[in-house]
Amino acid sequence: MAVVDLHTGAARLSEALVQLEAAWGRVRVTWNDKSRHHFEAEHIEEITPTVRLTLDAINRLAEVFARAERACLDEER
Amino acid sequence: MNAPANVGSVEAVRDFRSDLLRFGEQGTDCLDSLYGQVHRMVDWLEHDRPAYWQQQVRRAYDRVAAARLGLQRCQMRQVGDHRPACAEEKQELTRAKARLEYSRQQVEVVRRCQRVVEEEANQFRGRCGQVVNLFERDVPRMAGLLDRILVSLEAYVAAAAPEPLPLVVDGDSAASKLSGPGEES
Repeated sequence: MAVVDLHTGAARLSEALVQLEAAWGRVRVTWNDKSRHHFEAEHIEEITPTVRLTLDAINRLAEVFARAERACLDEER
Repeated sequence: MNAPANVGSVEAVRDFRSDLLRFGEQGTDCLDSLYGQVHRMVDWLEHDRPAYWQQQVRRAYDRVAAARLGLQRCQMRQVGDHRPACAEEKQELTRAKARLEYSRQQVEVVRRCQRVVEEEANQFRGRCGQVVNLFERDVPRMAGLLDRILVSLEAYVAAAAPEPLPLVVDGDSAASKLSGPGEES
């Protein structure tokens, strides 16, 4: 069993983003005016890249952790 | 003059505000959980692993000492001109020395891993700064902005709504008044 698990947290974060994107998709079809466009451009559009960058950082850290864990375990036991 | 609002469902905007706040809470929970895992890994490398490998080094020293003693005893068991080969004892000493060397190397490996993981963990915390701001600062701000937008939309919808029709006007039902020209039933 792994010492730590970053993948579960990453999967939950990814799922939260998918849910939010779907929710925004639902509201987008009923709200189409200047204020929605402004809200989308100024606030919504930054969410996905910010979360994606974090997911990349988690995956990178998970690889480093996995290598460290393998190196420090007792291969002879 | 303000641009006209075009919202099919104010309720959908209100629902999205709830979804947005839920997203912020889920994101914060995920980050807390991830930071907990990072802390656990650092702790494992700083406490569990060094203690484990130092104990293994001590055990390996004891095992080497016991194997040397076993070999000496074997070599003293000379019967007449026959000197025992002591192959098993020699093999055990070789294995014990190899284990000692491996355990010593692992103490160094753990030190190197501590440095790498600590550095990567710090970089990770730095990279998370933007998403932490998103969840803790931006999402509540967006929800506040949506609150103000909702107030405006509700006012707009209320102003745009037609006057309520009386149920009965001069003997005609309100339903008949709702029908436009050419829409007679």
